[in-house]
Amino acid sequence: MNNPFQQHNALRLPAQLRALFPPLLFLIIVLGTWELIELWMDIPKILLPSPLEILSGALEKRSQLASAAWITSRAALSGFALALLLGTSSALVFSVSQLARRAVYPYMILLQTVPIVAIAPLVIIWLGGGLNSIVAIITIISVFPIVTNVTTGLTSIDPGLNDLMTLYGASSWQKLWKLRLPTAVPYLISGARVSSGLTIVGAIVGEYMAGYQSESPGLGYYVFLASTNAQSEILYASIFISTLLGILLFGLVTLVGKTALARWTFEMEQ
Amino acid sequence: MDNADNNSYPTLDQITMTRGRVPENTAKHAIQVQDLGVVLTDTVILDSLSLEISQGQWVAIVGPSGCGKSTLLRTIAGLTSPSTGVITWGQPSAPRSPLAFVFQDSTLLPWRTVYDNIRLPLELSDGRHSAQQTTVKEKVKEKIQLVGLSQHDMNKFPRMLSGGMKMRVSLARALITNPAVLLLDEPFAALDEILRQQLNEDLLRIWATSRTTTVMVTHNVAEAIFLAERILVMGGQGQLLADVTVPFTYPRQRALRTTLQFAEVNQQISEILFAQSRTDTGK
Repeated sequence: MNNPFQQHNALRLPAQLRALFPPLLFLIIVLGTWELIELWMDIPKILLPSPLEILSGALEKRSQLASAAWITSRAALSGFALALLLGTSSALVFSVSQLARRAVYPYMILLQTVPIVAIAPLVIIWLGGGLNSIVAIITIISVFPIVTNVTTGLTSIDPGLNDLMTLYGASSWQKLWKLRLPTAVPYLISGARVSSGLTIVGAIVGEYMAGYQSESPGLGYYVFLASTNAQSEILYASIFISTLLGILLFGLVTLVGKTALARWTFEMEQ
Repeated sequence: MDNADNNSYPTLDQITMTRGRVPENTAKHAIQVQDLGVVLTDTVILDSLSLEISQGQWVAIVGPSGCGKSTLLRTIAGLTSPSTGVITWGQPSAPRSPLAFVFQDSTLLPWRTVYDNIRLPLELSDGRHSAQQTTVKEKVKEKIQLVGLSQHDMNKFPRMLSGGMKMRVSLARALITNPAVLLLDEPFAALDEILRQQLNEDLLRIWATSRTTTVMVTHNVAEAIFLAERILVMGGQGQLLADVTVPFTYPRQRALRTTLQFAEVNQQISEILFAQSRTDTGK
């Protein structure tokens, strides 16, 4: 059968791909305008290198930048894993002991507001320069969304489901394992999504301040070096790569979250 | 022309109705409530309420919103602590778990499949759910069939089910332990009328197979008459306004709802509730 609409439908791209077009188009316009302004106005490279200059500078140092990106990702993932572990276990303690929650939780919230740049030097004094300090800084910045989200998840159980568990004589341990933890999973995932973005911020701050002692420097240290040596194109390239890493990690956590949440009724907001 | 079924139902003068305090019941009781009082956040919900429910009896509790009927059911279930009074349980004839509760909401765990939701009570009481997996599976299959679900529904998640199907799963979960007493707290209140009637008929069919002592709270008088053999009409603070013996025998068919006798019982109970409502509002 010849259906005039069929072919038309077959040519249509999936909605998700089509949704990418407007931001991609905007990016191309911005980069194009940027390149043209450079051509016409002759702005010094140190102030604002053109996109093509950044690209050629990045390609020139591609092996160093690739290794730096790997070092930064490794530190970010380690810090993130530690934040997940520490965050979930403290949330567990807070959900079990109301006293602990009342006594410690307010300080946790308070600590969250202290700027990471102010804490970083302290961490370096305690742990010295290098990977340990970097991972510690990443953990500190990314642990709070996990603690607060998981604590909320563990303590906001459906009263009807709690009644059901009580009715069938569930022990506290059974309630925790079969009700509280599954209830908290969507909260953990949304906390992890916020944290994943913060880990790269922590990694760059950590490497900027403590990266000098690492055997091979990460992107944050490249930011530091490039700014002191006036290598603008490397500075810009490092910024772009670290942003890309942040997006990548966020996307990865979102993907894992969506797969895990397929069982839950709670839909993650887009 | 008279429906042939109608002739078997007793006439209105055969209906027994006791107003006020419930008389002592000589039959073997399943639940005995004595001088029960419940105070929640300084509000008296129930005040010196006494009643007895015989084994195998289907009792419906009707009353206006806020009269304490749900609190009574929750107190019987042990979910709310009484301030005064005692609740005693009759010994069930067979070794059965004491009670099951069906809530107004289906209260299914969203991350568990239908199968895993139904077996939850066994899992909680057993602890080691690895034991006799095949027996558990057989039990679940049997209850799924009993409540009118299909075997294909076993691996579905609650979000894939309609409201009526969720209630059926909830009912299957309640029946999995073969409880001695089944407590139903307005289980079909959220469903539309046709679905509600369908589930009422299914519930009667299920009940006929086990004759489990059943206590149901509802604000739907017709539902209470169709299902129960005894209706307790409650006023404020758990005051028992009437104890009505429903004059229809089991099994009951859908046509019962359209009979004159059904309408008369409905009228009588509704009158009591109207009178109470007028007293409460001072009109």
